Amino acid sequence: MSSAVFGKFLLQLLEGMGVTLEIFFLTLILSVPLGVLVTILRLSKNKIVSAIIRLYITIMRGTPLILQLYFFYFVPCLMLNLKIDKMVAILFAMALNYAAYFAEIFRSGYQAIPQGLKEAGKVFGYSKKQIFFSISLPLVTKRILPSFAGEVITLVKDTALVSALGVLEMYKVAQNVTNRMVSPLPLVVAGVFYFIFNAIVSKTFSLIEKRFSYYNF
Amino acid sequence: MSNILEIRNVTKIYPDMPRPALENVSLSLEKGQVLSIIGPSGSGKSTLMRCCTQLEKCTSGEIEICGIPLGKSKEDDRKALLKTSLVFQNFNLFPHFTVKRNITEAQVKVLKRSKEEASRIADELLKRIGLYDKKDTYPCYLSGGQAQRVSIARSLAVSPEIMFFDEPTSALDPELTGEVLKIIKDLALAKMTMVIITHEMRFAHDVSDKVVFLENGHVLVEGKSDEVLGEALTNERVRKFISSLG
Repeated sequence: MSSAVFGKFLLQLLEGMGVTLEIFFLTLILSVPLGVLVTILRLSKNKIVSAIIRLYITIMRGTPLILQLYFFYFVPCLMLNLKIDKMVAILFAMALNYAAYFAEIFRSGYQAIPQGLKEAGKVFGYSKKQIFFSISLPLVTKRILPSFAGEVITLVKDTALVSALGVLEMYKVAQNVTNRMVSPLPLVVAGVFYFIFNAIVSKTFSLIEKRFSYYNF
Repeated sequence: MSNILEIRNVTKIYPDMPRPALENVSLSLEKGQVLSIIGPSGSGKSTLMRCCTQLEKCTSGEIEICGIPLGKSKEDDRKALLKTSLVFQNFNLFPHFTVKRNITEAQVKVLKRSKEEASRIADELLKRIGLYDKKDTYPCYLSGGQAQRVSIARSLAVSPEIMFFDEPTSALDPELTGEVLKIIKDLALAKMTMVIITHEMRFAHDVSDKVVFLENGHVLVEGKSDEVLGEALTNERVRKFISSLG
């Protein structure tokens, strides 16, 4: 591969990385609040609501993400003849999928808080809101950080699945160039990019965990 | 003299339990008195305490705190709640707050005291329990005895009319129970109204005005400390229970 060709490839790869980052951050921004909402509904005392949410979580976690991506893209576009932006369909599928995983992490964290701490809040006259914001939330956050970090790292890698719909994100670019050049080098370079990306994610989370390490429970 | 605590014919039934946790329990306590509740596990001691501190609602019967009936209106429940406080068996200190903030938080957030006043009260209490030097420590770095002393200070800080203690030394190593019992004894001398669930019979005898023996949700024996636990101990069931504690 000549250096001019390689330079052009790197530029394309950077563009692809932009798309990858876009999918990553938008999915994260959408799925975390959605996950909180799903957690609240999942813990609802209304049995019908909680059953529907459980079914949703089971489906999202029980089928391949790539299948969900195709589904949310093809059903509205090809079957219902709706004009939906490809990116919108992708983000819809990604957010719904990740919200299901996040919701289960949030739920396990919430249920792991000792009942006695909430009771202490009650006995001392804290309102429900005060108990949630000044006792439950900080403790849940600390508890779920490691598993949340793991899920975010998976999300970085899952962005590559979007290539199946022909989106020119980092993996698709590398794959195209590899095919054209008949050389594995572009894939290796893309792999290094993903690796560095996740190293940054890991480091960020370990810094956050450190900030929460001044106490244990 | 008016009673601070009045329990009349209280019954508590949990839906999935074969028998009532409490059945027709009646008790009363005057200001400045100490009541100890003893009895085997599953006898309903904690349930009774949880009903008084509004962690549970009793199925029937009445509880009054300082003449305020529980379960009638939200305003009354709130008023009564602010007159009670509870010391838990396993402390339940807020792990993400320092020792001092554990003591100031409810004063500021619930009683709306100024930060300065809450801080002054916390410092005083910390000196009283001998843990002023631990004020900036987090609860996970305290021994069980220290944690329970802080938890007592947290309860005192909200100026309760009546304090409930749910087996305050049961989670502690034997060497650490003394420091906690001493603080409770000092409170008794200072005429704090208290209800204490305990398995420490000598302590219960020394500190209490009244002792109640609960079994299977019923009050089996009730009387002055000396009558129930003293030399004249007459009830065969109580005698058996005490000797089983070793």
